[in-house]
Formats: sequence, structure tokens, C-alpha cells
Amino acid sequence: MEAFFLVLQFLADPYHLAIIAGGTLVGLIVGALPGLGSVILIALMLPFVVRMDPTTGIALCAIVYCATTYGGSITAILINTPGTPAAAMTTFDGFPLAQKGEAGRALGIATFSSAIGGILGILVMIVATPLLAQVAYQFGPAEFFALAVFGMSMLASISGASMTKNFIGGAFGILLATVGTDLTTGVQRFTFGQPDLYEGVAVVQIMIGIFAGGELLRQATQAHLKRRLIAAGVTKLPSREDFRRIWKTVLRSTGIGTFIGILPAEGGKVAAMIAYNEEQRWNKKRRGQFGKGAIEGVAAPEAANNAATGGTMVPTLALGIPGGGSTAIILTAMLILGLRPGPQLFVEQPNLLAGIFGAMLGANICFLVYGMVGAKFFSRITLVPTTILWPCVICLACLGAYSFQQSMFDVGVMVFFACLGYFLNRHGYAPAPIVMGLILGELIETSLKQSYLIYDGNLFAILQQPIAAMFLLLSMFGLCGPLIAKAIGAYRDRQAAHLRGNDE
Amino acid sequence: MSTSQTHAKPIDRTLLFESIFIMVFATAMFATTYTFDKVPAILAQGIQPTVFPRAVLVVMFLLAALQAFKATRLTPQQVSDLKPVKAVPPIVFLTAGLLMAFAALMPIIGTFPAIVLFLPALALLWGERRGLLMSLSFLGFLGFAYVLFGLIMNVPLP
Repeated sequence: MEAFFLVLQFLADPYHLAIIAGGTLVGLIVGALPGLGSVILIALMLPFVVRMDPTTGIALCAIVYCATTYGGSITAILINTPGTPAAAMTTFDGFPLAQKGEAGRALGIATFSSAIGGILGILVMIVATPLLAQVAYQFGPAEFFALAVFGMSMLASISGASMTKNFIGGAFGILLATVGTDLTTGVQRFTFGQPDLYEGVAVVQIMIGIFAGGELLRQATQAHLKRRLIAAGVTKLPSREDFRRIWKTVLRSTGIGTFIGILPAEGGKVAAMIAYNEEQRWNKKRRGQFGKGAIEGVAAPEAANNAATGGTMVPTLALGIPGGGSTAIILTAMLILGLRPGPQLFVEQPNLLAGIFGAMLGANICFLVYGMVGAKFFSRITLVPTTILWPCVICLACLGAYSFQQSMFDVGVMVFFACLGYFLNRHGYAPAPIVMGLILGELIETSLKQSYLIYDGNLFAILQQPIAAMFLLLSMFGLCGPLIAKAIGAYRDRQAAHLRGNDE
Repeated sequence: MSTSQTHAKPIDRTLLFESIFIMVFATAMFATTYTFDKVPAILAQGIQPTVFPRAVLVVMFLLAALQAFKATRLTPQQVSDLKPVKAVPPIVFLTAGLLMAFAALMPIIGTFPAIVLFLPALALLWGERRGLLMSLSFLGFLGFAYVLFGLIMNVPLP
């Protein structure tokens, strides 16, 4: 109850309301621009956020995270290009609806589903985060080690070219985390005599480079593409019949989105994908209409990806394990600001948490209003030429990288990781696993060393701790799950082929 | 992905080369760990600073080896899915070159003169020819960058 009171108190402050209104507007604009998304925006914002007061800075990150997730649906519906990866599934039915002349209806469904999914996801977050944090009170080094391993094991199921590539990316990220002076012994590792590396690699610059810089080089190959706005109708409210049709879909997808979001490393994209597939499975009446303009096909991914924004914040705030790419950057910002996520945060910083919850809640309500009133305007933003936008974005990235420590070395690191990010992405090594490894690497090494000391060199003692054993077991499931699913799929295919052969 | 047609079994050569590159990288980094200072066992508290990075590199090497193995054992479905690899378009290298030049010019001629050169150069490289649009947009951006970094954040830019 006290948490809700603090949230309301945060929302009653006109300064915070202005931050919510402004942050949501920026988030919507950026979300509507194909290529840019919450990850790039938050990475670019990091140099500014770390200069703000912690509550406002982290709340602002949370606001743009919510707003960009919704903003991606506008372009998905109107120009068949998802503004963010999480909106990719929305194109399947949103664009066909727009082609039928029902763009307004599709945008209305997307706006309402996003807002309802987002708000319910945040309510779950408000309840679940403190509960999970209570559990974290019982965590020692062994449990944190097992939890971090569990977080890394989820790389097996995140979208990407292959599971092996995700793990190689994760290992590379962990290796990057070992660069610098070892805190236990003072030994320099992989510094190659470069003083700028003594304190470790610059995480912020790597993130800006790998996400924004890598995307710039990818956009270089697509600068000639012309985008065509199919329809730009003012958003209209979905009819009562539409609501009757989608309410179950929205609730179901919100549940899926929140659950997927809570799992470390998973995010809105996976949530939207699963929610869409589940909706097709559950909605037997309209199964044939999916992909041709079913409103359930718009509602399901939008409710799920926005619900996932709340879900991904749960492990981030309660355990310090990022729920996805955007929350990994938010977590970095928190660590730079001297905030250590976990149970202590709830005792020491209740206002910060109320700020994050309130800001996300406010952002969802705010984009509902913006979406209904200004969808026509946001759809026009998608037509900003890439040739003008991206040079400005990359300049901002370079200046941001420099401003962090006023070091040209940092700009060099950013440029290097921009080139590396492009080539890694080209060969199917997604940036998200690298960032996960980079963030969890230190936790894995530190907790492993502490466990080694506590259990007197017997690391098998970790398995005797019930919570740690449970997480390691879950890690095994996380690793084997996709392989088992693949094997079952292959078996079913063989059976089906066999049956077809018998019929013929 | 490109395949080798001369072999009895098709090979995903791109994936194989990638894997070999990763294995070489992991080996080189592993060798680098031998250059780390050694510390007395009491100071290292049981685990030397080389142990963890080496373990990560071994995992990386094994994953790359697994990937290399998979590249040589393709299923018929994977063979049919293979597409020829397109070369990296020259514009990517030119864009990367411009970005490096911008970073190199920043401390030499100053941040804002470097931006004034970089923005139109990149836009022109990408095929933008609308002079008025470029002038107005980039002037607006310069003003925004000056207000944000120079006045609000008070960053001493080079």
C-alpha cells in the first residue's frame, strides 16, 4: 500500500509529469523511426542520464523504454516496417488492415492493447518486484553465481541466428568484462599496457558503438530505400464489438508478455512472437484470418511486448539480472549512479523505485493519449530521410561517448565497436548476448571467487545450496529446452512425412 | 553462406572460417594470459587472476569448434537453405572510414568544425542531394549539440 502511495506522490509532482510527457514524446518519435529503438535511445541517453539525479534519470530511461516499445507499432502498421524489433509481429496483421483502409482501427487496437498490456504488466511489476527482492535476501555468492549462470543460459532461447552463436557472443562479453585490473589481486588483464584500459573497458561506449554504430553501418546499405506511407488516418476508437473480440486476447497476451519479460535475457520481441503464435493456437474461430488483417493479430503482440517492459524490470531491479537489452543499459546506468539493485534498494531507495513504477505507469497512460491524438503526426516522422537522420545520430553518439569521461580514447572504443558490431551482426552474432555477458561477467567471476573462499575450494558445495541448485537446474532446462523442442519438431516432421508416404 | 561443391559433403565455408577465426582469437587470448603477473596464492585467495579468463576462453574455443563441426555436417535442409555470401558493400567501408576520420579530426580541428565537415560528407556519400534540406537540418543539429553539450552539460569539447 505504501508503494502505491509513493507512486501516486511521484505522479503528483508537476516536474515529474513534465518529464513523463516529454520522455514519452521523445520515445514515441524515436520508436516510430525504423532502425532506432529503445536500446539505441537509452544507450545514447546514458551520458546525460548519469549527470541527472538518480530518480529522474532512471525514470526517464524507463519512460522512453515504454514509449519506444509502443512507437514501433505505428510504422509496423502504416509502412510495414517495424520501428522496433518488438513490433515485428504487428506487421503481419497491422499492415494488411491498413491496406484494407482500416489503418485507424489497427492503430486504435494497437494503442489500447499496448496501454492495457503495459499498465497490467507494471501492476504485476509493482507487486512482484518486492516479493522477488525478499527472496534475494537469502542469496549469498553461490546463489548469485547460479542466478547469473541462469541468466546466461537463457541466451539459448533468445532470438538470433543460432544458439551456439549466442553463447559465443555471451562468452565474448564475459571476456570483455575481465579486461582491466583484477580487483582481488591488482593484476592487469588484457590491458596491453594501455592505461585507459586499467579500469576496464568502457561499458557505455561499447554499448553505444555496438548498438548505434553497428546500426549506422547497416543503414548505410539501406539509405536508398524509399518508404511509402500506406494510410494516415486519424486513430479512431475500436468499436464495442472490437473490444469484445480482443479482451481475452489482451489478457492472455499480457500474461504471456509479463512472464516472458521476467525471464532473464528475454524481451519484448520474444514475448510478441510467443503471444502471436499462442493466439493463433487459441483462437480457433479466426485462425484462417491471421496474416490477412485479424485484429487479434495486432492486439496479441502489442499487449505482450508492452507487458514485457514491466516484466523485464522485475529481475533487473530485484536481482540485478537484466531482463533484456534495454534493461541491461538501464542497469548499467544504475550501477554508474551508485545504485545496486537488490533487496537493499527497496529499503534504501523507496522513492527511486516509486519513481520508476510511477514513470512507467504515467508513460503508458501518456502514450495512450498521444497515440489517439497524434498517430497521424507520428506516422509522418517515419518519412524523415535516413540520409539526414543517421549522420546526426552518429554525431550525437560520438559526442556522448566523449562527454562521459572527456576522453578521445572512449570515442575510439565506440568507433571500433561500431565496426565490430556491424560485422558480428552480419554473421549472425547479435549484440544482446555480448551485452548480457559484459554485464553479468563481473558478477559471475566475483561470486565464483567468493563461493570458492566460503566453501574452502569445494565448488561442488554450490550444488548443495537449494536455491543455487534450483537455478543451475533451470539453467540446464534453459540450455536443453530449445534442443529438446528442436528434436521433438524433427521427430514430428519425420512422423508426418512417414504418414504422408503411407497415404500415397 | 557459401558451400564448397568440390567436396563429397557440402561445407558451410563461411561458418567454418568464422569458427576458425574465433578459435585463433581464443588461442591468442589464452596465450596472452601467460603474460599476466603471478601473485602468491595467499593474495590470490585460491584463484589466480588467469583462471576465470582462461575458463571463458576454453568455453569459447569449444563452442567455436562445435560450430566448425556443424559447418562440415550439414543436413539436406541446411544445404538447400545455404545462400551465396554477398560481399560487404563498399559504402559500409566508406562510412566506417568517414566515422574514423571524424573521430581523428575532432581533437585536431575541433569538434564543431569536424561536425560541419562530417555531416554533409556522410549525407552526400549516402546519396542526399537536397542542399537546402541538408543545410537547415544540419544547422539545427549543430545548434542542438551546442546547447546540449556546451551549455546544459558544460562538457569541454575538443
